[in-house]
Amino acid sequence: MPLPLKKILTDVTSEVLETMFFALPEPLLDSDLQEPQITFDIRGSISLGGPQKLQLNLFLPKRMAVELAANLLAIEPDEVDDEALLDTVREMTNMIAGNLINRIGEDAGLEMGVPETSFGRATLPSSATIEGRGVFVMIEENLLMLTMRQEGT
Amino acid sequence: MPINILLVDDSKSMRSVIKKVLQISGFDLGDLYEAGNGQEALEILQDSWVDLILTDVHMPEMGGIDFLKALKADEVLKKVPVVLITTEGREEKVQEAFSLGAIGYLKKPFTPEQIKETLRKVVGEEYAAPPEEDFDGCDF
Repeated sequence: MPLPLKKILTDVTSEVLETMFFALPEPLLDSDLQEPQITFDIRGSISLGGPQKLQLNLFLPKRMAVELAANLLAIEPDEVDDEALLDTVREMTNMIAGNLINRIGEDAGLEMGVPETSFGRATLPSSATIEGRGVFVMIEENLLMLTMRQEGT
Repeated sequence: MPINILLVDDSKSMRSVIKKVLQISGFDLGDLYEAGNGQEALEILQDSWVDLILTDVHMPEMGGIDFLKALKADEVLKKVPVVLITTEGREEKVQEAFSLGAIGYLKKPFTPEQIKETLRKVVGEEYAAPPEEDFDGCDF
């Protein structure tokens, strides 16, 4: 992912997390990733369209999603059910994509699709992420990863 | 005078967030209706009168822009003020919404204060809740 795009995506993600989810995100550099493997439980994805048919993906652990949903809905974490969890991640994906398009869309010809979310455990070796493909944001002890790729790849 | 509001968003979580803000907004709330898309909202409006519609833009089945067009094509419903709530804040999108008849535009992410401020602008003080009784200076 080009550096200017990573910077914009990091800024947009931080703004959404702070404003709507009352979280204190801490962006990480690729070189700060220490863990040999990173595990995620939930994925959010949305098509951004454009000539390159881009897709934005979010990966996060369930613990983080539960905390964010509880913050958004002003309820206790143990009151968050799976429906609320997926709905929260869907809305977070939607907001990050929309605000990303607001910043770069006019030039890039991007148009938002409909966000989708699903449960599914994924474990990535951190070496796979150090190639600069993703944006990483730490909230407390948990890691959120965002990637952009061409649809169908 | 209580204000009846129709909230249209496919995200139950977002409806819940906006509902909570409305409930603490200081406005005199009447009935609060909820719909998951524009089509459901039109069905609600067949039987219920609302004073304000807050609608998301990106929704399945019937999105906010098509919903707005449907409202403006109806002789009665076209009078209901509509505020769009969306993640897209590009100038062209804002202008499109206003040209179709929206009277307000709220960009996500938003703070509770921004919702209240938008409401104040679009419905004015007519629907403000009566001030709480002030006991300062009373002799007990």
